[in-house]
Amino acid sequence: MTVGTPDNLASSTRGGVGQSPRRPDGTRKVTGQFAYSSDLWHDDMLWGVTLRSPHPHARIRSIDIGAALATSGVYAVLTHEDVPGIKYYGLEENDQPVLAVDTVRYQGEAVALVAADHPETARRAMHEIVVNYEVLDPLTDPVRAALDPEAPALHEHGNVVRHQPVRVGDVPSARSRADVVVTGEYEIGMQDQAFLGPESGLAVPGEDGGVDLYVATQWMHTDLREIAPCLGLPEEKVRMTLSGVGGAFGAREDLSMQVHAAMLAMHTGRPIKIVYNREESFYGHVHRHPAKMRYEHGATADGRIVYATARIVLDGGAYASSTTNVVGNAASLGVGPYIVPNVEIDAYGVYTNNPPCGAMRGFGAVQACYAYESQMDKLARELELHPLDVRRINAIHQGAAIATGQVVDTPAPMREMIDRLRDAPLPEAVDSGDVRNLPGGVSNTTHGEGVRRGIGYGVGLKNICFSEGFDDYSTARVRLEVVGGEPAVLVHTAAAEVGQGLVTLQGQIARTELGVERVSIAPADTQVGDAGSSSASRQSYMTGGAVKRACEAVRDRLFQLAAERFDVPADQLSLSGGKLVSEHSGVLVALADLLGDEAIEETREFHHRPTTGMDPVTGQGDTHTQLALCIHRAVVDVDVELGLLKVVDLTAVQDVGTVLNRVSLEGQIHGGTAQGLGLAVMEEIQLADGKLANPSFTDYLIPTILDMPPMRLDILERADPNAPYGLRGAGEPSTLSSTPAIAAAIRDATGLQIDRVPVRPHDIVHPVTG
Amino acid sequence: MRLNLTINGAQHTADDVWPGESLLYVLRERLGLAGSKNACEQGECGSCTVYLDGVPACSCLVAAGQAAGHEVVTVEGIGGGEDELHPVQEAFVDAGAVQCGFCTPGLIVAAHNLVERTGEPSDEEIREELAGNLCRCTGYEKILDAVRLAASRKQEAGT
Amino acid sequence: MKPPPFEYRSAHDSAEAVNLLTEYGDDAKILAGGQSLVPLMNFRMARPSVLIDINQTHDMTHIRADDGHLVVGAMTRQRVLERDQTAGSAVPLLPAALAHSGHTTNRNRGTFGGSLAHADPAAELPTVLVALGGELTVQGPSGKRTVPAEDFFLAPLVTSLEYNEILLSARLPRLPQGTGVRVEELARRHGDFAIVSVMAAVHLDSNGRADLVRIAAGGVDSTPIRLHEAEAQLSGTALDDAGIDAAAVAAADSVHPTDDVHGSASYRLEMVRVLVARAIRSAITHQKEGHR
Repeated sequence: MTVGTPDNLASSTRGGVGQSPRRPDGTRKVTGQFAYSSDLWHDDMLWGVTLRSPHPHARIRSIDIGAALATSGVYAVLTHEDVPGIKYYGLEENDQPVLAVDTVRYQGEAVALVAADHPETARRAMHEIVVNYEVLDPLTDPVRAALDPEAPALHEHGNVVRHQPVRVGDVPSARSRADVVVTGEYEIGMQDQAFLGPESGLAVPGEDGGVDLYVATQWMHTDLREIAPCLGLPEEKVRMTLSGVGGAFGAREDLSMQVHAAMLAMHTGRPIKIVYNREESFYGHVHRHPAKMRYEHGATADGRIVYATARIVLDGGAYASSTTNVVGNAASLGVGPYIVPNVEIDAYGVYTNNPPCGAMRGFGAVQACYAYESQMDKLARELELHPLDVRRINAIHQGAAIATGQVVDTPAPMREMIDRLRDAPLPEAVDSGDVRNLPGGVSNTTHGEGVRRGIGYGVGLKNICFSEGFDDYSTARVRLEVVGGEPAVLVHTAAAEVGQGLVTLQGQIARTELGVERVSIAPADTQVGDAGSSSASRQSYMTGGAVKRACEAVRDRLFQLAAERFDVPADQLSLSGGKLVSEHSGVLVALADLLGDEAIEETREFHHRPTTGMDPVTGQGDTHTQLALCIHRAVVDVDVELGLLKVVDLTAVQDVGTVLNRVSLEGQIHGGTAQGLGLAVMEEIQLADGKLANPSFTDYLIPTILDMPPMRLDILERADPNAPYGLRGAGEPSTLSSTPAIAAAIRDATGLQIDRVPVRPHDIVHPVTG
Repeated sequence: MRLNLTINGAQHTADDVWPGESLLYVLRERLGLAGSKNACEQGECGSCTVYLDGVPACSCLVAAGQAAGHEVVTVEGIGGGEDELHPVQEAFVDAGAVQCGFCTPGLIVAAHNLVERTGEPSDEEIREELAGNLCRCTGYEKILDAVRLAASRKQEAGT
Repeated sequence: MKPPPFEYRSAHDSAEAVNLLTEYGDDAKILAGGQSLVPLMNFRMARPSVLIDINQTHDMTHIRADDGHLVVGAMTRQRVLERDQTAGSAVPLLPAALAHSGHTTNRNRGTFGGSLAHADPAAELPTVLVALGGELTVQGPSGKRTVPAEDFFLAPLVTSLEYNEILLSARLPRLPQGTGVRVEELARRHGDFAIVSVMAAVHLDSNGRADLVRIAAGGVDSTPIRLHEAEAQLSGTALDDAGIDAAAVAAADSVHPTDDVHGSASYRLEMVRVLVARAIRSAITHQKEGHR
């Protein structure tokens, strides 16, 4: 069933919506010609480097830049005193200094900048900067930061960035009706986005006193709104162009080197290139919030959940970043895709002296999902129900409400998804004949001894697009003209292609809506209106919606033009294969002939339907634009003697509304699943007193091709009538559900609690009990 | 120091090379061959993989001087450019194995080596051979598809 | 452009390398395959002022076997050694261990001697040398000397090489025909450094008694550790289950691991016990079923 594509357009143009044309940037990417932000070059450029704090918490007594500045080949050494404008920035709160002013609040905080003619010269000069620190005790326990009024305040307004309660019904009286009660304390470690392309870019000083920035980012216009005030420039003097983005996953929503490079460029009058190395990258961007969560669920003997309580503490680290909205997600989605009549949730996001945390794929929903799904498994065990049954009994559906009282008013086929997953074939038993198929794989030591297999499930509920009353929109400019005798479309937006394939989809939409095969995508820059962020699984919906709108406007003008010229009613016209067709007279004219030398250009904004905020006391509100479901089944073999494991199979069912591009869509589900697997079994930034212990790809482990099992996908299309083409955002949901499914499978194999992810080998060999 | 080496069949000379620089740095910053990527600079991710005398190596782990007088083939030297992709490159685009693409140049070289050497590799062989190439976007499923597709097309073409 | 002061010298044989080392002293570093040194330089954790490249040498690249021993030159590439039939039949533990050492791209470049001189306590080749009681031949200004493996590795990344000495080759005892070998390497991902590795070689005589038992562990102490006590307990016995389990406990008692980001000390201790038992049992199977 496909819904939503206009009947008269869907299949008429090659490479349109619903097909999987090749990526327009694919050829350049496979030949090494695609220019990423770290590949940029300017003839007389200088190299910038950043001096960072070695301490998680310290007062700065003095900074001596004399020796560094005297180094041969050095052109500038800058500190906070050189920030031309406002010294603070931030996505949601202006609390983060461009360069540390009098205090450093995390290890790796930027303190000073150097520009020199060779990166090594810059680095050596950087080591000549003398910073006199008064080292302070770091506050590293987020629960203490949230709940202990005696904890030292790291910011003027205290340590709680946001506390969001959710209150529904009457939990105490519901508790008395529960036949079974399960409780759990769960913990999630700090995950890194670990995109491969390091933070980097080029700042070129302009003749007008402004600056041109070529950077890899997720949201140019919000960058602009943060950068310009720091530089003391009006926004129009900061011109941003998106350069090649080597992955993002949330980590490029906050600024990294943007203001620094621009400051050095304005100061020296020379272009400045900054490229972080991998170690610096770990200090240079926010991470996923680690979480400590305490849950309680009560159910009647027939499996119905009667109440749930949750306390979710999210460690935001030194600066707010997007903690406010991460808390909103954790709270509003805190009991997941289940009908729960009585709810008490308290979600906190706090400041500590740990690394700042912000956006990462799944954004607050990932943490809660691991906890509530673990609770579902506990309930199933207590009730002696199949794990899928307890989920099915309590599943949301169209017409039901989630914890915020928001009624799900579009398809939510969770029961159907559960049934389909139940019927999915299981992989074959352990094949101990080939060590490559065993835990640890070829490099390892398991030969079938002590290997046990487990099966687990996870369901996740993710909000799509921005929530909580944010006026979320995107802008697209579409131009149709004749180039070389053929009609051609140029699509221009500020939307960031971060790998997800938005450039492909923009072309598909233009082809479908305008019946023209030749489509180009202009480089994304700030010469066109805001497109919003490439996050929250929102760009197909939002920028896709904007491109569709702009194309429709171009089409209307074409029809008007034709209607006047051929004296036919505009509403009887359609476009096909580069020709204008009338319902009655057939082909009227080729587009190229109709247009001649004229270009038709239209710019349109697309706003999604309005949402509300969360009530500050009850958390109630219609806060989300769209909700998406994914469900995973994981099969895991565990060597219980070694604590090693191998995920043998991952099967997912996801509802995507409408498939716009199957190849890209599958790539999103696969990739999200892989990041969820990483969180389940290996990925964690380890901290000791606020200091990173493993800032490298040697010690921070991300899954290799040997760690990923074959992934089977069952994609449902239950169109959302509110969304362009009926689509449902698809980038994030699989990241939620794969983690708890794998944890559950490990639990099933070992009988252990598994109340913390990532699961480490010693958690299996030496489990901490109680 | 002055460095002479052969890259993609052509002689190249770089002057004022600091011997501590890696081959990757020389390729990217001195010779303008930015196709090989700088994701970790410690041999963990494979994004900088090149052929050195016909054998795949992480160019970030080769000191510039070690490449002097040797033959290097980078991703820019695989296939005949944008109009004449090698079957491996073609398959990566067709199968959807490219998302952000930062790992792609290294994977193209590694997969090229595998396909040219083995004909039709099994899934286990593909996984083993590409285990040194990290990808953060795809979950590797489409990369496996691409290698299978390239190998089968190559078998069909009988080359 | 003002690159920092740095010199690059290429040695054409081991004697020239020794002369250069003597001339430049502690500021010089030998560059072999580069798989360990170059990343240290990329991250400025090593800043040698002189690099002495020995890739152009011709007297350090060889694999030779005689009746009693296998001799491998320091500049032999790991991938070449891994695939060499002479080496594989004389010391089957070598190819078994090398298969775990990084990825093929690393072994294509990485050298036998480079890994030994780097002396990572979790690396495979040093553990093989220690397990089999190998000897290292080093050359200095006044000639050659031979160092037993257990005396060569002193601490993490520290060997008994003097500043003006270079590692020429290493000599390993040929294992009796049919010796069962086993490498047990615990890593969460393929190609990563071992959290714990155990290497074992076992030979049973015609009466089914062990006339050769060699065991060493990597990643559990400041150098690879030969597990002498466990060897002694097993030698001359029929390697029954109780004996293997007791020897595994003795092995765990004789190492002193520390915590790091990949595993706690207590986890490593437990793994030594589990892996020693598994390695011995697998090595026995290996001898009985023949080399695959």
